[in-house]
Amino acid sequence: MTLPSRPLPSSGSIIDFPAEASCFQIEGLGLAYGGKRALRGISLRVPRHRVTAFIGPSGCGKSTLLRALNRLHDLNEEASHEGRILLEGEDIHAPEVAVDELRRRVGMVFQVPNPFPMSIYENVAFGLRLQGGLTRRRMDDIVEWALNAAALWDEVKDRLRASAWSLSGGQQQRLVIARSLAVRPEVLLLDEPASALDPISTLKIEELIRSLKSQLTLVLVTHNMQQAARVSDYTAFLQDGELVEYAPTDTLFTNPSLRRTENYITGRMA
Amino acid sequence: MRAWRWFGRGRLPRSEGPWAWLAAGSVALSLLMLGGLLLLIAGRGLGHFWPAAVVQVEMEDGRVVAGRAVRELPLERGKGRERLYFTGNRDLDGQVWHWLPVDDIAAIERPAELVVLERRRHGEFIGRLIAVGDREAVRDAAPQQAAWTRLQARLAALDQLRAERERLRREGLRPLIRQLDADPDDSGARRALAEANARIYDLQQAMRGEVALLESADGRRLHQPLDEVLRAWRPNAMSPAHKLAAWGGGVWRFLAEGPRDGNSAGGVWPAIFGTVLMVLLMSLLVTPFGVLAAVYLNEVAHQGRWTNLVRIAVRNLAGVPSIVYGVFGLGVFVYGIGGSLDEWFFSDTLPSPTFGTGGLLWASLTLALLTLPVVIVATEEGLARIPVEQREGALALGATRFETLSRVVLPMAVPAMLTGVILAVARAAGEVAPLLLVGVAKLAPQVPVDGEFPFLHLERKFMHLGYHIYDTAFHGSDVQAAMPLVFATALLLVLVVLVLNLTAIFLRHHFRARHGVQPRP
Amino acid sequence: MIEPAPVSPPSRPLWRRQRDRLATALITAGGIGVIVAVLAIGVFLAMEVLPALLGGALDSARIRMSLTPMAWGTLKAAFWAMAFAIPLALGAAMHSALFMSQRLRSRMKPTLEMMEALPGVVIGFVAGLVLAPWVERHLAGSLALLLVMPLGVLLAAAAWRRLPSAGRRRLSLARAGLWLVPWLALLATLTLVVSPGLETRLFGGDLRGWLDAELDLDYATRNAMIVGLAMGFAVMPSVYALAEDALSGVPGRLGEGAHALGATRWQTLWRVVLPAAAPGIFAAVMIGAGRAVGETMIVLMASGNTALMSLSPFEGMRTMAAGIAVELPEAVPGSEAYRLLLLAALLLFGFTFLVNTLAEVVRSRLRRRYRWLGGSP
Repeated sequence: MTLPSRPLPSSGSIIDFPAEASCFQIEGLGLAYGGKRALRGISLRVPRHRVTAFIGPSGCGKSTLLRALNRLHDLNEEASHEGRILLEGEDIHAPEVAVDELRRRVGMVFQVPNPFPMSIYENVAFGLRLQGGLTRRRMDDIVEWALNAAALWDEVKDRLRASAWSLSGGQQQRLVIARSLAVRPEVLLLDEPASALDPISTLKIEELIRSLKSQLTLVLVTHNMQQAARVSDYTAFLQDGELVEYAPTDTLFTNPSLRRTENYITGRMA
Repeated sequence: MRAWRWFGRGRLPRSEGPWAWLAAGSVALSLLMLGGLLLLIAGRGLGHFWPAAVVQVEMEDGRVVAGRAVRELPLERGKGRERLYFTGNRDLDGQVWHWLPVDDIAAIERPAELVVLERRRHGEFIGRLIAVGDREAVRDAAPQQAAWTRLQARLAALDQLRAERERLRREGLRPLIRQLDADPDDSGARRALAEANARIYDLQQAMRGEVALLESADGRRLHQPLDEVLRAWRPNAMSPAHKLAAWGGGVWRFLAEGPRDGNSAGGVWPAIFGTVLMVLLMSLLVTPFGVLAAVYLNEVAHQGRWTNLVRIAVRNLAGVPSIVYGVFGLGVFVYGIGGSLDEWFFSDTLPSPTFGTGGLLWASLTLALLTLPVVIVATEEGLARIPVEQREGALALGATRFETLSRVVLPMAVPAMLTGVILAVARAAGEVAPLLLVGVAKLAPQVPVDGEFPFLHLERKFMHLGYHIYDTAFHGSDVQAAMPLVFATALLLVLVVLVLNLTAIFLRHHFRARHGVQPRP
Repeated sequence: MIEPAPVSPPSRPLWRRQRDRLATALITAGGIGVIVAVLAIGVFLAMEVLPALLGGALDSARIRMSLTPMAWGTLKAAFWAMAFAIPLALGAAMHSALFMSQRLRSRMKPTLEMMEALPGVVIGFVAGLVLAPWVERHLAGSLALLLVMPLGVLLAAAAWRRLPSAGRRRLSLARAGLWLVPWLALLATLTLVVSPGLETRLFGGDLRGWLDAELDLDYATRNAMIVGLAMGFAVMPSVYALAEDALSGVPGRLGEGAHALGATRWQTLWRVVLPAAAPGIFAAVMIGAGRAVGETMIVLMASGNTALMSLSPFEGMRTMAAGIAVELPEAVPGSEAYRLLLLAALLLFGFTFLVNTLAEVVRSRLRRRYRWLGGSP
């Protein structure tokens, strides 16, 4: 990649807010664990029914930001936050918001596939059983739909009662996605979902992410530039707990506004 | 070291030096001791049931003795050896052992006709069977040809009578007595009771009628009432297959019968029952509470300095001597809670205590407390091993903390809990010291479970395998005679404990292996 | 590909949240309750004893009179047990941590765990009723065994170096723990066969009499040596397990460095691994000592229970644990004797608790240090 002809500012941050309807609206978010600051002053909008990617060097806070979106950081007793995160206009830290309902609306897929030690069927039905009030037929339908949506149905339809741990790594990750889809979330957070998988499985996951866009909002954390470029519509670049640049993916990768962004991208892409 | 260089002179391979070999030697020595101990217990414990040959020994001075050789020792100051014989016949000789100098033995024979009788009183008889029949008929009878077959037939018949009597007592007598207790004026029951008593009396008379005329090796005669004879065998006339069958029968009787003769003979069934019941009660108590405490410490409590301190303290309690737990059980459960219970609910029977003395409940509680740290530590380890992704996965699906715990975390920790409980059971089964304080009995006439309301009698004393060993070996009247039985009991206890421990080791291994298999591509 | 999405399932959020709160509260209450109950032991003992002690209800002369022999006995029993257990346990730990193959080690550990699980009452019975009279009859042979065993091992080592290399490979040092067993068994048998002759020649055929006459040592059947042997046997596996953990946890880098300089495995162990693991070994010995101090049944059955205060290993003693077990059931609650025994229990509790805490602290520091040095935790 050639250096852009115009001189780029070396500091400050450029935030190109998307004009589309936003799902998450993050306003001046700061996060600290004990005395250690992990994030500061982050403001961005995550557009609805799009794939947004968070990139940045490891330790930059991209995973922390992702986990803040469904309040998983609550699990750490020393965590404290400032600023606001609005989901469809509601503050997710408001006292009347129930964390479990929030987490149902904002599903999450982790780096390491984490199916429960149960059958494939039970894994997908897990979230549904928590809600309760479903007939057996209805449950079967939803499980089938979710596995279809995660492009796994054809591979497992004959062994729904087999242990989920008998699946391959890529299949496990798609099972976990199916499990999240089954409770009909509005947002799906993906924390480096393909980093532990082989190239073919990675490809399948990426296809899946693109196909899910029509139904829900996806937020993806990845350390893989190409992956972000391939699947996301918008990309945010974070460094040292701060948002450096946020722009449509094409713009960010081909024409970054800041020297820091460009250095990172060129260094990593080369 | 210099000596070592001497050993290593020349072009010999370089070696690790003497200390490395001594370290290896200590492994070998430990294994040797462990193996020796287990072999000793297994050999002496199982050998006891083998119908060993009986010999008839004639001494130079004309004495004749019949018995089983037990062991041989050098005489004081190295003048030959002497041999110990178990000769039985306590009623004739006043003792069951004879030390005989080996040099003075004139002849040793193995007459096939020597019989051994196991009797309800006075232990074993070893000698010859002369005749069987009514007391008057055999008074001075000549040796009968068919006495042995007759004896066996009579013993079999007696067994049937005994079973019949037991059945009558159980099914006829006890319900009637309970009926009368409830309604003392029930004349029908009264009559039925009298009839049943009469039948039992008749049966007892029928059993009492016959005697066996016996003769010891040195010719003294003895009339032995048959209803006191439990079994009879002729070890020298038995084929190996017969002996094996008799051995199996002996093992079975040891496991299934109650003790006799001040615990020095018979079986250990009540002790097995008491041990199992106590351990069962204990695990019912320790499992939920141990898991609860572990879940609290690992999942709910704020993970800070205090929790860590509590964790270390709980861990350390596993190292506190068991006798201290016994003291606690005696002071708090027996004298404290038990005493109060007696004052409130059982004041009519005071001053004789009901719950204010050692008993099944207090023993189980004390042992539960003793084993709590084991269960807590094992469960906590299992909980800590569960990957954080599993919990987050459940939470990210909208599960509450309790749902995550009950549907994902606890099921995954079940093998660890099981391991903990099994280790706790193994520890409790072998633990005797606290029981000395909170409630075992040398001989408990009633097991703590019976047909009377409330069926499980938590206040009763009970028998325990470990205590049985201690008591029989140290407070019995004839420790030597009881030794084989103690060995058998010890073998049983060791087997139980080892099997439990092996199960725990296997489970833990299996559990770790299964977690390792989880694909982590 | 995507079918019409089913509508989101009905939820019952309020009930679930209340259940969560209730369950958390119950677990907290139950957990704290259980932990308090467990910790109540120390509180109970302190409450029963301390008021009497501080209020002067227990006379200090009386305490000294009744507790001193028991304290002496406890220390003596523990001393002999440790004298027996420490060399055996540490030797075994060093061998299995550094010389044994992984496969053999994974069999060895459960075997010694089995040894740890043997009930005290069984060991006490065998020690008190089988071993004690046997040793009394074969005193010379038994004492000779103490000497013959290590010498036999060294003899085997010297012979090993003269073996052809094929034989050396087959009977390797890594497997010496196994193939020395039959050799030692043979030696033991030989010793016992030969020793009566030696006893006759050296001590006039009566070592016991000789000990009494020459050294003024009284020999009791059930004595400190027997207790030490039995309790050492019982304590050894736990010391072994903890010491082994400490030794095998030492980061491999440390040892490899020494190997690279041409040190033998034993030199590596002695100069590098052992100093690194020393705190862990100390902790193991402390925990073993705590066990030995509190063990009841073995002492009760193998010590003779006489409240003697002598240094001789051939005489019995009475320990605090055994004293409590024998006397407490007969003591009237609230009486002076009862309080004294509870004081003994408090001492036992305090001592073991302190020793274990110390060991735990040392162990956790060591674990942190190993992690810092880059080894597996």
